[in-house]
Amino acid sequence: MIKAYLTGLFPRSKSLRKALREFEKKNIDYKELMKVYQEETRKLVELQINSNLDFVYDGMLAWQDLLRPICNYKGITQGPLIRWFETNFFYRVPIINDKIEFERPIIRDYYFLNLINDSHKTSVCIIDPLSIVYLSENIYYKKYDELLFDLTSCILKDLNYISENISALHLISPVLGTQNVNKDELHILNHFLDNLRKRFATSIITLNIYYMRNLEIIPLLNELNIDIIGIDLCYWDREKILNKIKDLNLKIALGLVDSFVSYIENIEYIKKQIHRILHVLKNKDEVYVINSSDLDRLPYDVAMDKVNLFSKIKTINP
Amino acid sequence: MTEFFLTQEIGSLSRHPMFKENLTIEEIKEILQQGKSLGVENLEELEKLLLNGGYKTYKEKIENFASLYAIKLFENVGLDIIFNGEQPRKEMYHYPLQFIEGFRFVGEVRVFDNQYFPKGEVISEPKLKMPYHLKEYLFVKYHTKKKIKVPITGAYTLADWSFNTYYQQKWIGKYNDYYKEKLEAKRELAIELAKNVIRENVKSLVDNGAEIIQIDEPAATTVPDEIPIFIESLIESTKGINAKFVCHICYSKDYSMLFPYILEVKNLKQLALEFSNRDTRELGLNDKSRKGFSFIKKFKEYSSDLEIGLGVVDVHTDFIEPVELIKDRILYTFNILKNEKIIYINPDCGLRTRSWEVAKAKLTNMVSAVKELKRFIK
Repeated sequence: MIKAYLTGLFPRSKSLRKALREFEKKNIDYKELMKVYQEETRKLVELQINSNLDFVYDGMLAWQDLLRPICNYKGITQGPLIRWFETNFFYRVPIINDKIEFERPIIRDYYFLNLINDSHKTSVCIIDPLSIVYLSENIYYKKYDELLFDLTSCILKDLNYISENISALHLISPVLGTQNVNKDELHILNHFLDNLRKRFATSIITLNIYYMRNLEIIPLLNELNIDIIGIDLCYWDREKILNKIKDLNLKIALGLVDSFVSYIENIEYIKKQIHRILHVLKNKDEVYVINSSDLDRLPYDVAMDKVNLFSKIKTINP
Repeated sequence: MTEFFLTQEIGSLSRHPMFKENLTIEEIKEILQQGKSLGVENLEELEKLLLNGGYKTYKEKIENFASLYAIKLFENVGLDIIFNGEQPRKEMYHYPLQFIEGFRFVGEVRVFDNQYFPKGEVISEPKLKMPYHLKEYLFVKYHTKKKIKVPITGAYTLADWSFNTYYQQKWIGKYNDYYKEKLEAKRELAIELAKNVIRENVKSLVDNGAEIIQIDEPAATTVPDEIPIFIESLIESTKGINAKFVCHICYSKDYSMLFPYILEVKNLKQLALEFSNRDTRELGLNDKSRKGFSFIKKFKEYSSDLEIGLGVVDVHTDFIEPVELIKDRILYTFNILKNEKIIYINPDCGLRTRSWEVAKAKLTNMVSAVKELKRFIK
């Protein structure tokens, strides 16, 4: 049986958007806003459970962009809005203008983990540290490895405030798919992954690469201390990527549900693609299907329909 | 005398408060007072319209008055080339789609934070229902003696900001290569929009006397792989039309990716680009102070006769750029290009997100800077 999970920012419903606007205008209070967050998170969680997904997350509905919580760390502030890769979405650049230090838990307040009833499936998403550094503006650190070290230490301390009993921790990496990363950087990332392993000893760790077109990185992924590698197969030349990932020893999550198209993929087409890919993969154990990147690039109703599609994908017999 | 450092706006002003529903008597008074100071005529009629239902009841008349206010503002400030502040248009994507068959709106997609825009989906071949800027152009032509530049959202940007369902479904499975199929689908949509929508619109404008057309393509450099599609769509949009074409592009990671391809668009006379958003506010003519204008050196290498529309004020801030700073931005560019005739002076982009007061202050300083420089350069 095919397995499946979702990652990344999920679009906000109309009612949540409205509540956020009303909260900004001070027409509703924090308690009322939280009520809407909870209702919307519950809806999404229920849909994932009904679609029989193997891990369930909260949709990251409170996140303005994947980097925003990081801007609350000591040493980092919010910078200007910048285009998010080749999309029409804009994120605030974290400006690193002082030594990054852990002060207080930040990330846990952005998750709604208590609303995921099925603790066997609870998962969380977070952007990987290399992507954070690439997408930030560093005006403090002279040495790159010191910056990465301080940042990863801070994230690890922050993650200590999240229950260790989560089923899966999904790292999202838009940068590994688009930039040339050297071995030293991968070494630091692996050191971070080793520490994650210690903290989340019983959890599955996945690394999900968005916008994959960086073929050079693929053979190096075998060295990373992760369980599953997720690859966006909708952004660039699928054949070229497949030719590289076929020899990976890791379990693979195929990003076949396209977050950039508004039509719902034909299940027969997905089935054909899965069979074609499985035919060439070296590691055929536990193949997953995932969304290609943040579903937030789609309108809410379309994204909900895409989640529904997973219930059909789950019935595909590999 | 040969003209140089001509000043222009890029397009929009924020929608005038007269579009608001349920205006109070105080607000109406303020609007009329502003009209008086701008020199708008027939304010008695506007007063009646605003007191008796306003925009909800008198859509076209209010659009015309708002356009008149914008024309007067630009004239009073002293711009050389103007339009109507795009007052009848709500924004640059949603507005044109209402006049194009083959699209439907499928929902809103986030742009940043909690800001969303309605996104269209292509469900059949796009066809123009009716030219959608002609009425605006004729109105402006009647009400000003200034040179007119008509801004129109370009084919590539309309394609890039839409879900391309119709063409993707058409191409899927053709190559057994999902990426190539998506690329072909994008190309076909952009070219169909260029031929059937943009070119037809532009033709109707030029047939009625329009001499300068600005094609707005903020998405042009979003996807580097698709630059050839953007270029082809620009060629198709302008093919066989005798007018001066300007292309406005903004907030690009790197304008260099446009070259040398953009030179293939033989009809294109000017590139109007955003610079000040990425510049410092320090005075100076050195590379460090003028870091936002670094592309100018590459521009000189690439092209000798293409004009540059130089964004000298940032439209995303209420900071009013001092005359001296604007002068330095222009001089820095002039020192590199050494040809004042190819330099046009404008804001980075449309001033849609600024109040009219801020827009006026920015444009006033822009015009003052040019006046001072003209004396100096002469």
